[in-house]
Amino acid sequence: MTRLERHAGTIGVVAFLLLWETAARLGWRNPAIMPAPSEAALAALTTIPPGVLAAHVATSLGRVLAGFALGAAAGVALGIAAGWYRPVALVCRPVVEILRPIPPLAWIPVAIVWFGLGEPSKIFVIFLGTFFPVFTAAARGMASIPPVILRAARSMDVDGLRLLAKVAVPAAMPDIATGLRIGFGLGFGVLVAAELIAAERGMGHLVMEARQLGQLGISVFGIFLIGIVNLVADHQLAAAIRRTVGRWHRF
Amino acid sequence: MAAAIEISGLAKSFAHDPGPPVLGAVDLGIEENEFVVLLGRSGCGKTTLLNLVAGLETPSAGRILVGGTPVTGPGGGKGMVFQQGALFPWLTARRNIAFAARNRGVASAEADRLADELLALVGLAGAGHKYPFELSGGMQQRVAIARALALDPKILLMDEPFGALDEITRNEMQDELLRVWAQRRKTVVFVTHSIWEGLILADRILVMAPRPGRFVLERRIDLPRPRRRSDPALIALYDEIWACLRGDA
Ligand SMILES: Nc1ncnc2c1ncn2[C@@H]1O[C@H](COP(=O)(O)OP(=O)(O)O)[C@@H](O)[C@H]1O
Ligand SMILES: [Mg+2]
Repeated sequence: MTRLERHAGTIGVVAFLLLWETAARLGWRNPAIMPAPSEAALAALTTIPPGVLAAHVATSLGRVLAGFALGAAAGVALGIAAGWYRPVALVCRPVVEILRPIPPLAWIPVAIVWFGLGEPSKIFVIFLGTFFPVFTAAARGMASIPPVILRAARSMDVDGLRLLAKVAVPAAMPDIATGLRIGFGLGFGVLVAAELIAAERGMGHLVMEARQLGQLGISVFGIFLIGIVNLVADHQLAAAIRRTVGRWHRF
Repeated sequence: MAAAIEISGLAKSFAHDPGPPVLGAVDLGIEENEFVVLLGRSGCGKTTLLNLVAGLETPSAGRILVGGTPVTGPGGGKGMVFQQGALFPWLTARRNIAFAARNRGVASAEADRLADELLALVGLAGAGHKYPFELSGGMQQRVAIARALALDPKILLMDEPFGALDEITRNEMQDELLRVWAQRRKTVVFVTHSIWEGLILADRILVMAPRPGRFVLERRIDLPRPRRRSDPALIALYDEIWACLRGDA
C-alpha cells in the first residue's frame, strides 16, 4: 500500500464534506432544505447536551444488542438444527420461506399490538431482522460441510451429538460468523426505521423529532451519526470474528 | 502369522445404483504388518472397499474380520487417512492429533504428550501450533498420518493420501511413510492410482477392475526398501501392471 492509498479513505471523506459544504454555502440549496455539514454539526452539538446525545446512542445500541442477541441465538440454534436434521429442515423451510421476504418493518403495527409501544416491540422487529439471515447462513453452513471432514470424524468413531457439537458446528462457524455480520447490519437498519416510527429516544427518534421541530441540521447530523455508530459496531463484530474464526479461516 | 484383515465373499451394491455391483464377491487376506497397495482406475471400488473395512459402509454380502472380530462399525483400532482436506481446520495440528487420542479415552495431558511425540515422528516438531491452512499440502498429510496413528490403530487405511501432492513432495512423502512405518509397524491398506507409488511402497500389489469391482492381478514385491525406480525387477512389474490396467479399459 502506498502512502496515497493509505490516506485515500480520509481524502474521500474530506472531499465529500468539502463539496457538500461548498455546495450548501454557495446557495445552490436553501439552508432550510440542505444544511452545510458544519451547520448540521454545530446545530446538533450546541442544541443537544452531550449526555442526551449519548443517551440516544446508548438506547439504540441497547435495543439492537438485545434484538440481535435474541435473533442470533434463535437463528443459530434453529439454523443448526435445520441444517443437520433433515426432518427439521422439511418442517421449517416452508414457514421460513414465507416469513423471510416480509420486511421486518411490516410487523410494526402487529408488534405494537402484541408488545405495546415500549421496548419489546422494537426488540421484536430487530429480532426479525437478525433471525432470518443468521438462520439461513447457519443452515447452509451445516449443509455444506465438506463430506471428507465428516467421514474423517466418523472414521474416528465420532457420531451422534458428539459429531454435531465437536465437528459439525465448528466446521460451520465461518458461515455462521458471516451470517451474524449480515444479521447485525440488517438488525441495525431495522432498528433505526422502527425508531423513526415509534420511540421516545434513540437515534432514529432524534432524526424524526428534529425534522418535526424544523431543525433539519440536527436530522442530518443524526443520519450521519447512525452511519458512524453502525460502522463502529460492525467493526467491533468483524474484529471479534477475526480474532476467533479468522484465526483458522480465510474469509 | 495371524491374519490382520480377512475379507470373504464381500459384495457391495448401492441403492438406486443400477448395473453391476460396485464390488463383486471379493476375497482377501492381509497379514499383520503387511503393506498392501490397491491399484486401479477411478471408479473401480477402491474407496468403497476401504470404507467397508473401516466400517463406514455396510456390506451387501460377505464378511470382514479385523483382528479376528467382525467389523460392525468404525472404531476398534482402524485409522484412516484421506486424500486432502480431512484435517479439522479449526484445530491446530497438535489439537487435531490430540482430538483423535482423546476420542479413545486418553486423558488430556497424555493426549497432548502423545500429539507432540507423533508430530516429532512425522517430522513436524515445532509446527504443532499451526492451523491446517498455514501448512503445505505435504505437511497437512503428515499431520493426517499422525492423527490416524493417535488412534493407536492396528490397521491403517489410506485412501490416495498423496494423490493431491506434486510429484516431488509425493516422492518425499512415500519415503517418509516408509520411515514412519518402519518405526510403528502397522498393517497398511494403501489405495493409489499411481503404479510407481505402489511399486515403491508395497509388500503386495492388488490391481482392481471395475463393475463388478474385483482383483485382476496380484503381485508380491520382496525387494528391500528403499527401492530404486531403475531396478529392472520393478520396471518389469511396471510393464506388467500397466498392460493389465490398459487391458481393462
Ligand atoms: N454412496 C454411493 N452411492 C452410489 N454409488 C456409489 C457410492 N459410492 C460410490 N459409488 C459408485 O461406486 C463405484 C466405485 O466408487 P469408488 O469406490 O469411489 O471408486 P474408486 O475409489 O476406486 O475411484 C463408482 O461407480 C461410484 O459411482
Ligand atoms: Mg476413491
